[in-house]
Amino acid sequence: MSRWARLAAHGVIDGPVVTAHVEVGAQVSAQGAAGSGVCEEPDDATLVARAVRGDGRAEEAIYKRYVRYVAAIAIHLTGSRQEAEDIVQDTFEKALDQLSSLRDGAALRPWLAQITLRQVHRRARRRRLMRLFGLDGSAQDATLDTLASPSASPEVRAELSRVQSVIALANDDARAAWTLHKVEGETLEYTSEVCRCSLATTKRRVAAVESLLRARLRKEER
Amino acid sequence: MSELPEPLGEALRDPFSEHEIGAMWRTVRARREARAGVSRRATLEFAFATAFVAAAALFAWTRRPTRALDEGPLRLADGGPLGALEAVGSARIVRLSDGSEITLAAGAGLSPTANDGRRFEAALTGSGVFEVRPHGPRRWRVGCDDLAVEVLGTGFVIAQNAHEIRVTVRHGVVRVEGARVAGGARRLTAGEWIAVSLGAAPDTTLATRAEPVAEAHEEPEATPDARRAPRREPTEDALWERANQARIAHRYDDATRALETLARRFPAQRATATYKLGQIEMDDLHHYARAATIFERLVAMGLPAALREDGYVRWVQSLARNNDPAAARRVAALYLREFPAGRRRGDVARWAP
Repeated sequence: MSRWARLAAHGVIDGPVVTAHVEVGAQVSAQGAAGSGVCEEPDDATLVARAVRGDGRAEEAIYKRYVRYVAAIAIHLTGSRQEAEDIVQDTFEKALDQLSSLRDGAALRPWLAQITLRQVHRRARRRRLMRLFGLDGSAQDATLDTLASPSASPEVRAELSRVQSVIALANDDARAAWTLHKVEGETLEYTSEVCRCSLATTKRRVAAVESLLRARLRKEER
Repeated sequence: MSELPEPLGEALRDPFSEHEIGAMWRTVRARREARAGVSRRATLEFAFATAFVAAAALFAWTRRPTRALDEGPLRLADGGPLGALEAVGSARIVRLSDGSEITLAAGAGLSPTANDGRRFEAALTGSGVFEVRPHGPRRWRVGCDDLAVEVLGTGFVIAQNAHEIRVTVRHGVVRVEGARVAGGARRLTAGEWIAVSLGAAPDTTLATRAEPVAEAHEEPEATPDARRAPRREPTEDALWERANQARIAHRYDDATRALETLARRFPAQRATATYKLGQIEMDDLHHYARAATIFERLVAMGLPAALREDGYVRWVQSLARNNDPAAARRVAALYLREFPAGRRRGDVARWAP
């Protein structure tokens, strides 16, 4: 089970415990609660159906449900807060505009992840173009080590820094597959669906990054 | 990896606060409402136009509702007014109401000087990437120093540094004009570029030639299956990317290999790749003798003036650092003979007093 699935199943988001409490027709709102359980809430297909019919509250509910997921993918792949913020906004703007094209509302999560990845790749191409012409790119102010949990030990931060420097060398596709699988905790099958490639290709891409990481470790141990 | 949890995300915190999450939602909502508002305005205008024509059946259509979104001055994508733009600290992407997009490099600025339904003119300081919506109603004109780039639906890059302004066309057609452009103006098509010196000589045009400006391509990582599959030659962009990444990661052998391949396979890149090779040998590896040989080779290539001057300075510098002041002074004398009023005289004198 992916990290996000585990968190969603227990109604826990990273940090304070949050309970999403829903009544029929009411706006989704979050209330802080200590140790609360999961309350009933509409599933993705229901929210999508309502949003397509013009229900603004359903649109906002979709945003609140998945914004942190989209933001995590964006920031872990770009390493930049500003870019991640732009990607989050672009992703939801596009998604809400094109919601009617989503045939299966239950597939909202991977669909949002696909849109996010497209935005990430688009910006990566733009960044490469600017570097090619000697123009400055966005600041890398949100690398894995800077995003470490406050309780992370110095050893963990150091390892995150090493991982960051290695995955920066991988190509966009490999980095995306590895991040979805190893950072976000998604299954290989889900990752291949989001990346729109075969399971074999996803495994190769993840293995390629793992190979870079092992090579770096061997070099440091010498 | 032994210190890290699986999945790795368990060791990371949420990057955005509730306040930031809320602010992003408000931006998404504002953008969508702005676009919906423009569409409603277009629909209303269409309704009035239809009523007018229906009432006066002898008159021809004068309005095109499908173009209503393009009428009037360009705005930001969220409907806000398009004023002076600035990229502070990092690059900034600005989307406009007609679908065009401008990316300003860190420290760059763009000031509109004319903006209506027929034209958009602006002055650029610094560097930027422009993606102008093709077949739009407006003629774009971007000024940079005393250079002007006129476009009608295209993608182009203006890169400015202390020595030159370079305009590169990614797709479409542009017209570049200015006192420093040979003949006063030049038409460039996709793949072509022009570089204009900012030195003392006002009409020095460095180079104008057709050169493929490829989109950056993905370079497939080596995988176990690569032995079976036919290996594609890396593209120019992929080699530059490889060289840059390798240099960042202190893998100088990989960086120099990529640069040597660039110089060998892409003649148009030979000078730049050689310069970069020399930089790595001197600045990163401190191989001054080797750097001196590379910069000597660079100067011998018959380059445009500005690059030759830079090559001379680096050649003198590498000889001086190699503890060969006599050779440094000899090369300095060569430089002064060729460029008696050269802009790098001061630098050369510093390294070869």
